[in-house]
Amino acid sequence: MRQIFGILLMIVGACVLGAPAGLPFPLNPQPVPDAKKPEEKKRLFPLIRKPPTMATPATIAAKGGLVSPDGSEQIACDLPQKFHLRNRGGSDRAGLCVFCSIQHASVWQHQWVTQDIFKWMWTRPGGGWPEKVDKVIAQMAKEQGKPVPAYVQFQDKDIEVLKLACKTARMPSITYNYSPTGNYRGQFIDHMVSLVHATDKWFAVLDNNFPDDIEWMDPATFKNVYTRMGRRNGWSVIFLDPGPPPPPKN
Amino acid sequence: MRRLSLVLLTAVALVGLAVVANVDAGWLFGRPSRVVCTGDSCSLPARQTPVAVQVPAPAPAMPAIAAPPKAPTVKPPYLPPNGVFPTGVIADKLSAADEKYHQNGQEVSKAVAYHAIGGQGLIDDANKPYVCIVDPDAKRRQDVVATLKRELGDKVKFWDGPPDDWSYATGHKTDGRPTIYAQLADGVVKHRQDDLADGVDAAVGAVRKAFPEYAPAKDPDLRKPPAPTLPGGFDLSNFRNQLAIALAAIVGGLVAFLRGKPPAPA
Repeated sequence: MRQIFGILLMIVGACVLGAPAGLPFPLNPQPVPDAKKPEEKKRLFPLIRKPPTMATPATIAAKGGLVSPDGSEQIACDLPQKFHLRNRGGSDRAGLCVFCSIQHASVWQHQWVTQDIFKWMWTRPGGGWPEKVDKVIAQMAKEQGKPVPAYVQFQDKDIEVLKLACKTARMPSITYNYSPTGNYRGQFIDHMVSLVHATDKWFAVLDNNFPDDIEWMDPATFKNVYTRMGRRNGWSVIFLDPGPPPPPKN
Repeated sequence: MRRLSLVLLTAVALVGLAVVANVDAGWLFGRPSRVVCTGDSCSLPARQTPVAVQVPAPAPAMPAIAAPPKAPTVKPPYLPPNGVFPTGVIADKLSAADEKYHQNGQEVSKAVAYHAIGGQGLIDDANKPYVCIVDPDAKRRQDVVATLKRELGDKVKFWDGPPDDWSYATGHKTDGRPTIYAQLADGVVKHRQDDLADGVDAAVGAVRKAFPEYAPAKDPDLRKPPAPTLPGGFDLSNFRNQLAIALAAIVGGLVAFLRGKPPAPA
């Protein structure tokens, strides 16, 4: 009798608990992302470091097009879509984001020497850092018998110089440490993208892994993206020749 | 007997649980039970004979109203073949804490790097006018650019390319041999010529006329010592200022002369 009572009690309990939300166990188990899962020993993403422990401040970021999310600003460096490149690996399969971004800037600013730097790197080892950029640009210039284009590289946390570059129609290639709109599963990455807009109100980047979208964000968020939440210097490569002229008008 | 009743009760309880909880009961019977609807009919999936479910016939379409446009096909997001997005910055080779600057392959100081892009004060060249040269002949184009650069210096921004360059798709005329534009920063065309009949020097002159605010005579020559200035920044090297001072001196002397007492008669 007791056993029957116990079973009945179990049935009633299960029905009460189960009714609103289905069974108390999944019938078709789905993988559930575990935010607290510790870092795996064998990394799926070799260049992705530990997940960000982001006590993210109020973030304003959105994917969009040529106009800022609030409609107030038009993109500064409107590189035509046909020149938006998708990143890939070099001969050792390490990524070429640095050279992909530099090619975006080269097309935008008519840097003839480095117009094809991305393709040129396909057959060479990937990965990029300031000294390698210097070496590659110098080698390309030498091969073409042309002078090295004028450019500067900054490794600091200043974003004012990036604003000036965009204001004067130059397209900086900049480090990008995480996606504020949730690409890359919101994790930290070691990546370089093209900065296509920078003002006191909005920054926008063209990510060579998502070349169909422009990612807009507010300056504070951008600074975090650029400097890995302030933990590192940002790195930018800026050609000094100006960008294209505005459309002619009378 | 008691055990049998327990088993029966448990089975009944489980079925009741599934029904009451309104969950997918198919797992009990080894098949999914979700109803699949396509178009006007609904059916149960595999292992069961499809049962056509009567759906009320749609209302007759109004002839005047055109068919609704097809919903745009949503492109699935791109995923790389191995599921890994390539990146490529080697973070270990970046300067994590110390600020570092490079210019054209050489490590330079912060001041030099900032000067290259406009100086510590962030000089803004966004308002500088443009000179655009459009020419399919790359050599001629480069020669024209070189001459104009030599003559005009960095007072204007230069842009050149062949007629089919993407940057001219916004409205530039490109059929000149060459076409030379002098444009203000907002795009207003101050001068355009479609040939070099008068030579490059004439083009230089035309560009200078287009931007009259540029006066070569005002260019500073930093080899010479700075001109003396009066308090308040009054520049003595300026001809107008010199003329004004000379006139003031003459007028002052004249006034003093006329107001002066005549000498007493001897």
